[in-house]
This record gives sequence, C-alpha cells and structure tokens, in this order.
Amino acid sequence: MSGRPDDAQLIRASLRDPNVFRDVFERHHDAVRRYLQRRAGADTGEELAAQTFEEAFRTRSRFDPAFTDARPWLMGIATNLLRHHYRAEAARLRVLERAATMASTVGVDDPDARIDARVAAGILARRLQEMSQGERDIVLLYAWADLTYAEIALALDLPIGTVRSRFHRIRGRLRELGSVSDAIESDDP
Amino acid sequence: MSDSRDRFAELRRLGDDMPETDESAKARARSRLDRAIQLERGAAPRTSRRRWGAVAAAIAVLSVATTLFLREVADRPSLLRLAAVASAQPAPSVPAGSFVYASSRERRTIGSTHLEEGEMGTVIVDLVRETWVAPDGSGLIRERPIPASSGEITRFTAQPGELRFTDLDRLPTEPEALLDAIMEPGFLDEPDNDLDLLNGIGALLRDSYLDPAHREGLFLIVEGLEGVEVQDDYRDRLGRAGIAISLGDGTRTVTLVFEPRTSRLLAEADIRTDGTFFEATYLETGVVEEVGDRPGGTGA
Repeated sequence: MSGRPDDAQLIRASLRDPNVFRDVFERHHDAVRRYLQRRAGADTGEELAAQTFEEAFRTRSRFDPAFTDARPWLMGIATNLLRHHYRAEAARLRVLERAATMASTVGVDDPDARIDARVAAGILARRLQEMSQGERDIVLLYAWADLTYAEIALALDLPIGTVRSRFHRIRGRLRELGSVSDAIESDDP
Repeated sequence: MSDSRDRFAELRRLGDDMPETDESAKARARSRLDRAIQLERGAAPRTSRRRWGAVAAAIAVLSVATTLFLREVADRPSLLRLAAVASAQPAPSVPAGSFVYASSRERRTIGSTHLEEGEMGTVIVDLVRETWVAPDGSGLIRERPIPASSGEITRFTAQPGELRFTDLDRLPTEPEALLDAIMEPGFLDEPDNDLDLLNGIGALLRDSYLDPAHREGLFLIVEGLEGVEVQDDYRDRLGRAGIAISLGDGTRTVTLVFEPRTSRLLAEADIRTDGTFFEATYLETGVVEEVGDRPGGTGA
C-alpha cells in the first residue's frame, strides 16, 4: 500500500492506537467548524465543532469502513449536535437576515445589483428560518457543507430517495420565489 | 432571471463570513480531543456494560421469576421500590389528536465566549420550557428566558417525526428484552455508554406516556447498571422530596430524580467536569387537546 491512508483506514487504526484519530481531526476540523459556525454563530459553532470530534472519537467503532471519507459521518454528528442548539441557529439566521437588509451599497459599481443581491440574501435567510429542521439540515449540508445527495443520506441516516424528494420540494419552493423584485413584493409586510 | 439554481448559488454565499482557518479555535478543539484520547488510553479496560449477562445466567440456573430474582440480589432497594410504584400506576392514554404537555425550568450551557485577557467563559441560559408533543412527533417547543429581559421567547414548530414521542407498547416488558429493544434505532439507537443510556431512559420516562409495565421495566434496567448510586433523601430545586439516581465516570455525572409515591420524573442533570451542564426541574405534565393548552384548562 502506498500514498496517504484514507479516513476509514485511519479510524480503523485508531481503534488500536487512539492517537491516530488526531489525523482525522487535522483533516476535517476546519470544514466542520466552519459549517457549524455558519449555522449556529461563531462561539456556539466553535464549541459544537470541538464536541463533534469528541463524539466522533467516542463513537468511532461505529464508523462504516465502506466509506473512505469521514466528512459525511462527521457532518452527521455535527448536525445532530446542532439540534440541541436550535435557538442559536435561529438567532444566527435572524442576524443574517438583518445583516442583509443593513448591508451598505456605498462604493459599488452597480448599486441596483447589490441591492437585489442583499435583498435576496435576506429573503433566503428568512426562508431558512421558515423551513423545518429536517429540511434545513438537508439544504445546508448541500449548500454549506458541500455534501452530495448520497453523502447527505449517509450523514442523516436517511434513504437517498427521501433526500432526493425533500430536495425536490425545497427546490420547488425556492423557484416559487421568482425574481428578486417579485420576492421583494411578496415579502414586504 | 432567477431560478432555483440561482437561489442555491445565493445560498452558498449566505453567511459566508466565517474564516476558512482559525488556528486558535483548532488548538482549543485539539486540546479537548487530546484529553478524550488520554482518558481512553488511561482508562481501565472497559467492564461489562451491565450486569444483565450475569443476571440472565443466574435466572436460567435458578429458574425463578426475573422480578423475584432481582429483588433477591438487589443492593439498591429504592430502585426496586420505584419499579413497583411504577407498575401500580394507572395506565395513561394519549388519544389521537391530543398532545402531551410538559413544562420545565432549565439551566444549561450553550457555548463558550471570549472574555478579557484571552480567557474563555461559559454562556449559561436559564429558561422555562414548554412542550406540546403529539404521538406523531409533531408539536411545539416554546422557551421563555428568565429573566424575560434576557432574551426573546423562541418557538420551534415541529413537523411529524421531529420530536421524540416513543411508543413502547409493542415492546417486551421483561427488562433484559426491553433493554435490547430500546437499544435499536428509533429508540435510543445504541447509546455509547451507560451515562447516555441512563439519559435516554430518563427521556423515555419524561417524554412519553408509558404504560405501567414498561415504566417498571425501565426502572429495572437502571437497577441493573453498574455503578448506579441512589440517594433516598434528595431535594430538588423546588424543595420536593425525591429519590436521586446517579451515574458518573469521573468526567461526567448524570442524575435523575423521581417522586417516590408516583415514580414521576421530577428533575435531571448532566454535569461535566469541563464546566458544561444541563439541569431541568419538571413542573407540570398532562394530556391536552391543542397546542397552547395547559392541563387544567389554562391557555398559554
């Protein structure tokens, strides 16, 4: 065997020598931390990222070695931990919504385009708040954690057909937003 | 033009304000992982998760009724008393279209924050939590911060399947078989250690209206866990007398407190030596017709 070992090999080796698990941490901490911070804010996200690797270490004997990449497994643990912190996530989404509506347009070449973009961002943040936790998990594992459908299914322990069908519904709802100007009208109180 | 593909591109940019790398955050997380690794390396070889193997073998040899045998070997009679009390409670029911209401006063750590001079502090929330959970797992969670000025009331509306509502009716009641059944996905999903198992059993006793035989079975499972300690004269934060059941591993202690006359869960705590904790004192529970109702007819 040559080249660097894959995650499954590292995790299997860590069952004999726990120190090996540090390599899994070094590979994936940044991605997991960033995903969690985007969802729950900087402080809670950092804390949950640390918890994710503690939990992953404790439960590593359950990692399915058929999957060479540990990222979906880690993102699944991270997403489970997030479910106990939905208040932090709700607060984060409100911050994103407010930040979008307060963003400055000074100094940009095309202020209209910037306004459209920030309004769209605000609307998306609101749409995320309106989604169920399960829908938000799927859409943000895709958009913010860069997982594929199959990886999301693995992360959330769902059949891939379920992920596909939920995604289809979410896409439909996003499409219903129409153009940004339509969305502005429909979202204005 | 704006279709769903555009929306996903916008979504990818949303909240993209977190750094790609954060060496100080990584160092803190690395340190915590190192501690977990050291704990495992320094830990004694894992003992049998529970005494059920020995209990079952003894049952086979002695051919006596499980409950009778457990009573004979019991060194924690309060747990067996709780099991007996549970078995004598009236059978509850949650009709279709109804909700199980529960309210609790909770304190928990929700994360850490940077203090002056580079020190880290823990963020603690104190709140009253109310839940309305339908048998299909839909419902509402509402949290009111204490004091009210410290934050906003939050509401989480759950779709079917999103909240725990565990129906054990079809499962066996004999403790060893019940333990095997609740370890399966859909119930407790193979807890990694006995502390998580105890936590999970607390959740089953708390969140669901279980029939008396299953409540009794859950208490007998707890009785079979290695290292469980019982305090008969416990007082919860409201001053209510209870039987406290605790299990610890040196870094973490899980405690459940039960009302001795009814076996109802009064309080629980999960406290870690790293300063994180969760505490809940249960106030009121009952079956109501609609989300927003409270037992006794007081609307929320």
